[in-house]
Amino acid sequence: MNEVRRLLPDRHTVSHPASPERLRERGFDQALAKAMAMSSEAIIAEIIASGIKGRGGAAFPTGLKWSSVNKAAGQTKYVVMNADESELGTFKDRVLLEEDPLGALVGLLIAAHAVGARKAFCYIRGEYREVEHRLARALDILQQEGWGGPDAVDVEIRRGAGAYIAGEETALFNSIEGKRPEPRVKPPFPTNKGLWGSPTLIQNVETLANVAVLFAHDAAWFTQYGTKDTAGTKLIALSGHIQHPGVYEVPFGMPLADILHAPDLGGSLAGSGRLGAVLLGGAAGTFLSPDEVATSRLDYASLGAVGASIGSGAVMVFDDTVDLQWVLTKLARFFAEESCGQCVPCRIGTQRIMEIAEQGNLWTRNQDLRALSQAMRDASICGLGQTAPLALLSILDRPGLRRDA
Amino acid sequence: MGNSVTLMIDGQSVTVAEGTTLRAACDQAEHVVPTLCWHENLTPANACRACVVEVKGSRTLVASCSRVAEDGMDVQTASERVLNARQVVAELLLSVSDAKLAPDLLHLAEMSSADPVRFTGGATWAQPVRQDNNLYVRDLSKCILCYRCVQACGDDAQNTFAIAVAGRGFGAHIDAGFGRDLPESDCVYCGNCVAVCPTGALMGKTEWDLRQQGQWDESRITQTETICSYCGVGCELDLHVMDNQIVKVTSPQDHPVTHGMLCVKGRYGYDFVQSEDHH
Amino acid sequence: MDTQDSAVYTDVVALLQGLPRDRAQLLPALWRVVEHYQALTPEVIDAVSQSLGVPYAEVYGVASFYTLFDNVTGQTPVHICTDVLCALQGAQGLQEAAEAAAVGMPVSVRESACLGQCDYAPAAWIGAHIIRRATPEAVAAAVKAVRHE
Repeated sequence: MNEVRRLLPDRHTVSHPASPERLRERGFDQALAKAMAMSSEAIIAEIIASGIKGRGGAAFPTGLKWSSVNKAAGQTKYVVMNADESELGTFKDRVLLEEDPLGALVGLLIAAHAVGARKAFCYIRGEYREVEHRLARALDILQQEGWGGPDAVDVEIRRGAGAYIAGEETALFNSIEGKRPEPRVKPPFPTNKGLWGSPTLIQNVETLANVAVLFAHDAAWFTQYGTKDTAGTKLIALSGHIQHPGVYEVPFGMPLADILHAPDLGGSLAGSGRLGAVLLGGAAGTFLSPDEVATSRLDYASLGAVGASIGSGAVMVFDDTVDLQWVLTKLARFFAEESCGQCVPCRIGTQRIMEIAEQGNLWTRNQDLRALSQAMRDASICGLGQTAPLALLSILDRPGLRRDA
Repeated sequence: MGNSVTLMIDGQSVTVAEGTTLRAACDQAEHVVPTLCWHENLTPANACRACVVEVKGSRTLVASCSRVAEDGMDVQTASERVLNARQVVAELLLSVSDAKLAPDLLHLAEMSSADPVRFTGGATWAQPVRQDNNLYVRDLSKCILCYRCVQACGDDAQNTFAIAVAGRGFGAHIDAGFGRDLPESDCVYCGNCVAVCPTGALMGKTEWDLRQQGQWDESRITQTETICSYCGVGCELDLHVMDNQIVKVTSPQDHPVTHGMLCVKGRYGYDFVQSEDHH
Repeated sequence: MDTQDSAVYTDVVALLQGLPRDRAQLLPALWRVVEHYQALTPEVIDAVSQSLGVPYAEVYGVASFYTLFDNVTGQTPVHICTDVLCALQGAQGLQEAAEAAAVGMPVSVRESACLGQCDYAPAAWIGAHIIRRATPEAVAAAVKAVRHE
């Protein structure tokens, strides 16, 4: 067996995902009771001992972030669950919230307690209406079980309305505040100035679910999986030309080839049956060649060596019949449509890359595209513009992946 | 005296007061960085990215207009990455907007050796001129979306909020709501948006008409200082006079009362002064 | 403005009942009126502006950012995901089936970016439901099932 079930409930779980029985079956009631009896410092020490890193893509050490918010000056603090995943090929938070919505909410309540926040938001993309209902039901369960109420943290679910950029943390704050979801300039960072200028802890759904299972067990249990550098498990969203697309939980360090081929994971390639490339990390990810896929592992160091990152955990598989210029054109359109328009490199740059792609000139305007991409990476305000050219650059760097090459 | 910080700018040690932005520190070191959206009396919008500099240890370049100088920072204003970013920003804007009356953008293009046609051939901002009132004209083909007008209309000066950025991505634009005409909007015609516009996208009607007629001639314009007499606030006015006619009214950016901002009477009341049947 | 006397204003005030008069409620407020009217008209934006005390241009600036509020026709949107992974699994056929079924129906068919259903590609989103592993037949049936207002 290659698959692990920790964040995702194991396959023998019988209770309804949003029920009091699930809270107990998963040990989340005990996790909450344990955490609420602990001091902020003790909770944060446990998180640091576990080595959890943010699972939204940036892999920032979670304990350090909680510590910053906890120490930040200010009476009012906020915690936010970021469930706005909207990137191409990314659907792990959807599956996690469908299968176990209580976990992430329990993590959110522990986070609020740890940093001293009385108000929490769950920001969920507007396209996930059915998931939102389940999340709302899970929240009701927690309140009925006594984990909400006037003396506890007030949790509000906010529905996005079709804007990928609203998943960028500072844009998300603006969205909640009723402003245009344009990213803010950093510094200041959210840990000091987030929602309404107050210290704010914002975490991805999967990160918070990690917190819940950590407190349902302990750091020693948590670190049984993973690598020396990155403890625990990662949700992988597997899609494209693969026998079993879906979300799988695997330990950090697993060979990418196993994720694609193991019978209980991807189950081997579909389509032509011959691997063309893997787009790893999302729309702003890196195309890996079959050779790189064969030799890489799911950890930051191994992937860093081939210029890739785990990102949000999207693994998109393309067989050798797929024209990657077509894929790049789709990606370019995505970024052009999702750019907020605030800064020049991204607003006009994403538009120009899309136009060049649609004209079929991606391979011939190599030099212009590299200069443009470098300016976007260097000078865009936020991660969208900074990473929008990465997939393109990864193919410019791997001419062997071009079908016409 | 407040605390000071010392940083390196292009290898030269510079000491500035705490809270000074990198842009101001670069000015002090006489390594001036180019700017487009930055304006001395408005909150930095961080939008144009022309003013980016390289700070050692920072993954990306940083906007010097808003980043505050810190002790020990090592700043490069002309590194390869900075020069590339500036050049591309200029090229992208030139590929979209009409820069004829945008001196700061033309300067940026020149200093960065921008190739004005490198990224042309795609969508542009060309659009019809909007003349929906008697006081100013909107030629948004010249707009570079610097946010200055929105800030001047909003809480940086006027607190009217008649215009905002709408849409997104390449379609982001300045809008009074559903593209409606200014007389149907909340606009009070203070003209402060016109005063801060760096590209001529917003222009007083008098200047617009004279330019259309080929009569506008900067060399024939003289400026006369006066105090606005419409009320008792004491706003200083600069009357721009051509051929004995007032063609534009501004206020000095460094004036302690106005900071360059006026109301409709001060900015556009000259029509009244000049009207022949006025007694 | 005399909008405070209009029927739309009265309706919007009723729709927003219980929401604090606070800019932070703008997104929830827009959702409430969109779910009622489908289209955000100038009258509706004006009523939201007055109800929440947020300037009209800013309400429009926020509303016009979000694609799910972009619905000038006021018809029920039919979202067909045409992004990479759904396109590889036949989204083109779904779009054609939806457009054919949409003739004479109060719906507007639109291409959607990734709906986050790549494990069940191709996907469509009509009304309250996501259709997973959608077939042209299933999409056509869902379009035909949209109620005439």
